[in-house]
Amino acid sequence: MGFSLNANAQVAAQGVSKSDELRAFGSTTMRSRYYALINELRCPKCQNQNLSDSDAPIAEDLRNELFSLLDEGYSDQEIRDFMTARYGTFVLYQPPLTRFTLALWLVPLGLLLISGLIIWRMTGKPRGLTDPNFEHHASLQKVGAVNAGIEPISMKVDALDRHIAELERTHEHDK
Amino acid sequence: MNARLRLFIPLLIFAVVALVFLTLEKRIGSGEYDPSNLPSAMLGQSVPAFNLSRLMDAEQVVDAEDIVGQAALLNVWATWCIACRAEHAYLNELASQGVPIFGLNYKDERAAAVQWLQRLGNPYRLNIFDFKGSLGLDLGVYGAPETYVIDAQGIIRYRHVGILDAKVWREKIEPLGLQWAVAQAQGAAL
Repeated sequence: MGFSLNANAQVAAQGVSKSDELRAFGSTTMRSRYYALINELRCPKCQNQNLSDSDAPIAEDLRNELFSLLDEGYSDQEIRDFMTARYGTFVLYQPPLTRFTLALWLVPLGLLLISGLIIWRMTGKPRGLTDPNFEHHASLQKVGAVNAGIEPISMKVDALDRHIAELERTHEHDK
Repeated sequence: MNARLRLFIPLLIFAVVALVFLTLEKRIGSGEYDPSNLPSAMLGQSVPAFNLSRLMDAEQVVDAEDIVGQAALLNVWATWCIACRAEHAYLNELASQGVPIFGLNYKDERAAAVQWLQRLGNPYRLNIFDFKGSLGLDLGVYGAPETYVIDAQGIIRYRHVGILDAKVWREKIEPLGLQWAVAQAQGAAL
């Protein structure tokens, strides 16, 4: 047995099929490049699996092809180009930035920006001052001003609670 | 009132997302959109060079020049492919109308394939026997059946994944505007 227990466990964890164990890699670099590429390239048949995960015949063919390309001395990029020339950019799990994939790259950035903006707005300023709905209410504005620390806090907390409850009641009556 | 309206924002987002998924689902249901249908990377390119044997005669070699010269279909099929069986009758019909069809017998057994053609009829001008799937790989084939539309210059103009039927012919292949009529005349001559 050429494999240590550890190596076998690693192979099992990666979901590598038995035929991969039997490949005669020329060097350990070639071996690691092979495993890196079968994890990076996507199976065209079974859409959400990479070549190492997939049991589809086409995935097996592509693994064999990949192995012989490595054997022939192709570089990683040449192999990626070889695959995309035949199966399109679909086979790359890391899609290049083109006008077709622009949305893919920009949407997460946009969402990050929007959520950042929302968090900034929610935490940045006291609500009483920014919410226009409450601005017409002069006495509540005062509470807001107290909260914002413009005036020294002169009321005790329970007194403030009572004040707010009263305001809410009068606010109800307004409508 | 403004704050009230703001409460509806999540509902609005939900409605938009629901609408997107619903339209997608509808388009998938009608067959208009198939997420497993990949665009071919070979569109607009020449048929790749190959050197394989004929299905009917292991001694005879076929290359790209044997199939280029007129608008034609290159149909990828195999006896293990159930959908190919369903497609076969329509291929026979197209062939009888004079449409040149070449077969790419993909990762199959020669004897079984020959028997299949004897039993179900042979719509193919000639069949390429691709036992290892090497031409299939160069074409970007990822299953069977697949049908490539090749123009008279040998350029791949369209790739259909799945069963070829009258609807696909009418809606996808005819609009390419290839001269099947000329092919028909040639078909009659052959």
